[in-house]
Amino acid sequence: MSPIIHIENLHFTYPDGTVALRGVTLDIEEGESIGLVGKNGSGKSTLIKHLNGLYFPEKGQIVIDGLPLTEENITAIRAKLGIVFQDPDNQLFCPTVYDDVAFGPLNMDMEEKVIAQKVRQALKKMDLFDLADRSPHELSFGQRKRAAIATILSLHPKVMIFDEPTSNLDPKNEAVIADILAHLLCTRIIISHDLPILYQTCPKIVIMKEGIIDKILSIEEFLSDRQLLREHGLDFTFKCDCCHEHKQYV
Amino acid sequence: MRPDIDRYWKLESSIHNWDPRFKIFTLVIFAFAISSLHHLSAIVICFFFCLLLHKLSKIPFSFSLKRLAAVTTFIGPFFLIMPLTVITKAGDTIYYFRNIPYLELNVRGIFLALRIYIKAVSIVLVMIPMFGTNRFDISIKSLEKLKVPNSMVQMLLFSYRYIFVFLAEFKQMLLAMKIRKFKPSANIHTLKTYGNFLGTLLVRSFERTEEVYQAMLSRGYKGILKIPFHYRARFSDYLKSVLIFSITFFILFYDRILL
Repeated sequence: MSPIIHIENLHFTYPDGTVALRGVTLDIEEGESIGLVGKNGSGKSTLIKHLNGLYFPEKGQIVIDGLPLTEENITAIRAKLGIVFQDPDNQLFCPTVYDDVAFGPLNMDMEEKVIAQKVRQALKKMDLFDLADRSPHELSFGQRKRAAIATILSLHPKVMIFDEPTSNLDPKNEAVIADILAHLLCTRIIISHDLPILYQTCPKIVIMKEGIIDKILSIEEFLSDRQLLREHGLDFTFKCDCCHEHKQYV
Repeated sequence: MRPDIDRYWKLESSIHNWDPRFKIFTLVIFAFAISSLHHLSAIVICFFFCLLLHKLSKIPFSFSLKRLAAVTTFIGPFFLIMPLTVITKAGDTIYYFRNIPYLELNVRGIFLALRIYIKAVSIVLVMIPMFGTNRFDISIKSLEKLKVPNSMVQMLLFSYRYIFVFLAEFKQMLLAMKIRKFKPSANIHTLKTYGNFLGTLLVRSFERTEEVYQAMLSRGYKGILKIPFHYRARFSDYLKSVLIFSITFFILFYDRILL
């Protein structure tokens, strides 16, 4: 079976000359849940923007569910692969939550009845149905995060990409988002520095370093290698240092 | 913070039920007609008609008072400036101040200011039901149906959505300045700080624009903003427009021919 995402020797340089990707090759199978990690500037965001056709490869090839990434296939690819961006305010630009969730299906020229149904389903799944008529800026940050996920869910994509899904959330909302991520049935790519979330949602970790795929390993292998965590700026053990004097609370 | 303009769009009234395309087209023309009136009596008639329109929309008057207060703040000084600066014509009543021979108060200036003020208040009283009786995005989207370019419509919609985000960022940055003991005063340091402040806000806005655009593209945006709303013109919509146009015509006739 061919992978749902096939990336081969992907290169990309920004107009200012910054080399972001230096030959990324990666296959992701349907139904997999991948954690994409790496230091800031390692090329994670640039890579996911390629998958949705926001950037086009300078060199190399991307195939999404059998469709090569070309201008002709872009609409079909965007219907198959959705990105939930880090800042929900960038994802929620319509006057109401309903309009935002309907935005994708409307652009895909779906029938109105189908759109209404998909929007209803997505809002119910994210527990936002009662807030459909509200303006996004009236929602709390956690609600906005969920609304941003609903905007992609309504497209029923085969692949969902999440860029830092739990950033700036309180622990309660982190748990809500983690639960949502864990129960999604589609293929998932989660960019995160939040190791507990990755542990709960991603059995496989892809590490990026300086524009290339450095390592691919299981979450257990990844978490047990402290040197590796440190190398990629993900060693979180310093957070526990404060507890040395209060071990009874840990 | 909540957008105020369409706070009462869910109420039920004959203005709420009016198709937004007809409503905007008719009331904009009516507003232009108000601004073109010459005689105070015609302006006063118009003012009472605008009050009636506002009453029909069921929007609480207390809500509109804020807007009217803003107009008053802007036009209020006219009552002071115009009597003192209006060019004197034959037949004008002029009062002179003892000991200030170069200062004269022209009564016609007071009436001119009054005319401008009543016109402004009337137009605001029309604008509130015009944009306050539908969801703001639907009102703006109807502009597209009235042949306003799509790019302009999108700019208006995004401004409406993001003005609150920018305002929040603006306040945060201002707070960050205050907690570092920034006190504005009349010196180069203040000017530089405000320059940096505005520059940073501009850069942030630009970055956000890029990110919003990418988020739109990733969900299939192809340059046209689609809003799930259907405009359906009924007989009553035509009737309401014809009624307002008739009143506009009558007032203009009264102002230009009868008076």
